[in-house]
Amino acid sequence: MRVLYTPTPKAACTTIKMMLATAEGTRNSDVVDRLAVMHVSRAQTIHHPQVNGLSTLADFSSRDKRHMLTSPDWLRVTSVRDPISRAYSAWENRIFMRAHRRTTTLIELAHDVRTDGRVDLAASFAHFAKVLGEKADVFMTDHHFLPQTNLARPDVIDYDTLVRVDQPGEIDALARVLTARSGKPIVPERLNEGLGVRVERVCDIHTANRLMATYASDYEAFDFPRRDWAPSVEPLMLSDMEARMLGNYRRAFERAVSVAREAQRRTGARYGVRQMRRAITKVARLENSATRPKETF
Amino acid sequence: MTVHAVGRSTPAVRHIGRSTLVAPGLKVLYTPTTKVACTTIKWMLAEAEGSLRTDVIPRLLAANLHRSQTIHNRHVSGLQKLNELPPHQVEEILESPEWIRLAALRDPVARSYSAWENRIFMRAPGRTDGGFELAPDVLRDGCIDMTASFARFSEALEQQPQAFMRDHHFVPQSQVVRTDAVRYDLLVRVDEPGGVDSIAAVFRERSGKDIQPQRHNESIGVPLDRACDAATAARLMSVYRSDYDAFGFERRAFAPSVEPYVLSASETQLVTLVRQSVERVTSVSRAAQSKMSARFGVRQIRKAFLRRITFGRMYNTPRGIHW
Repeated sequence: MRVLYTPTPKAACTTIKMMLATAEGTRNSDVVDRLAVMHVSRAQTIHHPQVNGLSTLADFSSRDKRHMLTSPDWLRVTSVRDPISRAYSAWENRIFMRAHRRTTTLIELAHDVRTDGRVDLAASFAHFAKVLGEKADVFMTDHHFLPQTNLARPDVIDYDTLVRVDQPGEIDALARVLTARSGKPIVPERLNEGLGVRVERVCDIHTANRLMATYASDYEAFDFPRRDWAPSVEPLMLSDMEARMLGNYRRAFERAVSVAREAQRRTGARYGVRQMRRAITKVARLENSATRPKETF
Repeated sequence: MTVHAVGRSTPAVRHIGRSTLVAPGLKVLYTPTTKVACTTIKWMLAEAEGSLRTDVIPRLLAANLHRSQTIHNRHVSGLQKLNELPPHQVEEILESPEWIRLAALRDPVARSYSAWENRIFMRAPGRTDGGFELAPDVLRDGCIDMTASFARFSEALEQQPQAFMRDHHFVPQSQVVRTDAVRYDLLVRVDEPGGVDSIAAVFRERSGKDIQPQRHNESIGVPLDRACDAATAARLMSVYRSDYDAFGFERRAFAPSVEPYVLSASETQLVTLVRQSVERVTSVSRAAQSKMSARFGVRQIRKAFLRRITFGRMYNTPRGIHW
C-alpha cells in the first residue's frame, strides 16, 4: 500500500493498526489464541507483530528507509490527540486499570486517592498529574506517557496526513484513504475499552495546567488549542460495586501477567531439552495418562 | 503420581475420591464444595497442615483469576487427594475415629446465585462456555438487569441442567458431599454465623497453629434478595431438590416480585472490561499450557541454534524466541 504509519499510543493507534493491517492483508487473527502475552482485550492483540503482520521501519535498509520517508508515492501518516484527553486515557488505562505489564513503580507513585474511604477518580487523576509533573522521567519510560512530539517526530518525518483522532470524521477520512489505496472496504472498528468517564468530569484547571506544562512541546508542535477547564470539579467516587469490580479486574490482570511472564520464561534450548526429556520419559514408562499442564512446572 | 483404587470401591466412594482432600498430618478429610467457602477452608487446611507453598504461585500457568484462587492448585495447597492413597489407608481414613471427616454446606439458592454471578455473569474460566448463550444478559436501556438476568439463568438451568452440570459449581451439593459414602463428623453450614469459625477452631486444635479464616470475597455485592424473586427461587429449589432432601435446608421465603436491580452505565461498562480481561487471561493460560511438549522443545532448540549461528540476528527478542 505504500503507507508509513507512526503509531501514537492513546491516539486511536489500535483502530488505525487494525485498519492498516486489514488493508495491507497482513492481519492474522488466527494466532490471537496462541499468544502467551497479556493484552487487556482481544482487540489489543493487534499490537503484537504476529497479529498485525506489519513491518517496522527498522526492518528495511537505509536506502529503502530514505525512499519511504521522501518518496511522493508513499503516504506518511500519524495520529495525534488533545494532550489532556490523551493523558487521561493513558492514566486510566495504564495506571488506574493496571494495564502496565512491566513495572509497578508508576502505580505506586500515582496511587489511588480516596475520599471518605472510597476511590475518587477526580482526586486520583489530579494526583497523577502532580506526580507526572514532578517525576516526568520515571513516567516517560512508558511510551503511553511520552509527548506525541517525541513519538511522531514531525521534525524528522514530513507527514502527508496528520489525523486528529478527536476531531469528528478524521478517522473515517483515513479509512477512506486506506480503502482507496487497498481496494478493500476499510471501516474503523469502534473499541469500547475505557470507563466511559469524560475528562471534563475529572480534570480541573489546576490539573489541566500541570498537564499542559508537561506536554508543552505537543501544544507547540501541533497547535492544539488550550481548552478552558472548570476551576474545580466534584469528587467522582466509585460505588461499592464499581470498587469491587475494579478490584476483580486488577487482580485478574495481575494473575494474567504472572501467567504470561512464566510462559515467556519457558524458552531456550535448555527448556527445549527438558521438554523432550520429559516426553521421552513418559513414553519409556508407557504412561498414557493425559498431560495435566496446570499441574506441571 | 500414582492413583490407587479407593478401598471401598462403590461408585459413590470412587466419586468422592476424585475430589476429596486429605491432610494426613492433621488427620483431616475434607470434601470441598464449590461456592461453599472452599477457598477459605483450603487455605486454612493447607496452612494448618503446613503444606502451603505460596512460593510456587508465580510459576503457575492456570487461569486463576485471583491469587487467592491458586489454592485450588495442589502445588500450592500441598494437600493430597483421597484417590491417590493406597486402599488400606483410604479404609483407615474413612473409618478411624482419629480422623475427622468434614464438609461444608450452604443454602442452595444462595450458592446457585454465587455460582451464576461468578461463572456466568463474570465469566470466570471454566466449563460453562455454553451457559453464556443459554443465560445471556438481560438489558434495560443498554444496562444489565441483574434480577432479570438471574431469572433467565434459573429458567435455562431448569430446562437444560445438563448444559450447566458439566461445571461442578452447578452440581448439587448432595452429589459432592456423599453422606452415603462417607460418615462425616462435621457438616458445617458456612452461611450460618460461626460456621467457618468452627472449622478454623478444629484446625487450630489439631495443628496448634493460630488458624484464622480469611475472607476471599470476589462477589460484586448484589444482595440475593434483590436479584431473586419467588419464581426464580422456586425454579432453583426444584433443580436442587436433592440438596433440600439430603441436608434438610429450610426453604427460604422470597418476595413475589422484586424491583429490578439494574446496573449503572459505568457498572455495566466495568462488567464488559472484566469479561474482556477474563477472556484474555483464559487465552493466555491456554497458550502458556500449550508450550509443553516434545514438539515445542524441538522448536526451542532449533531457534536457540539459529540465534547462535546468526550471532543473535534471528529470534533476538523474547517475543521472537517465544513464538
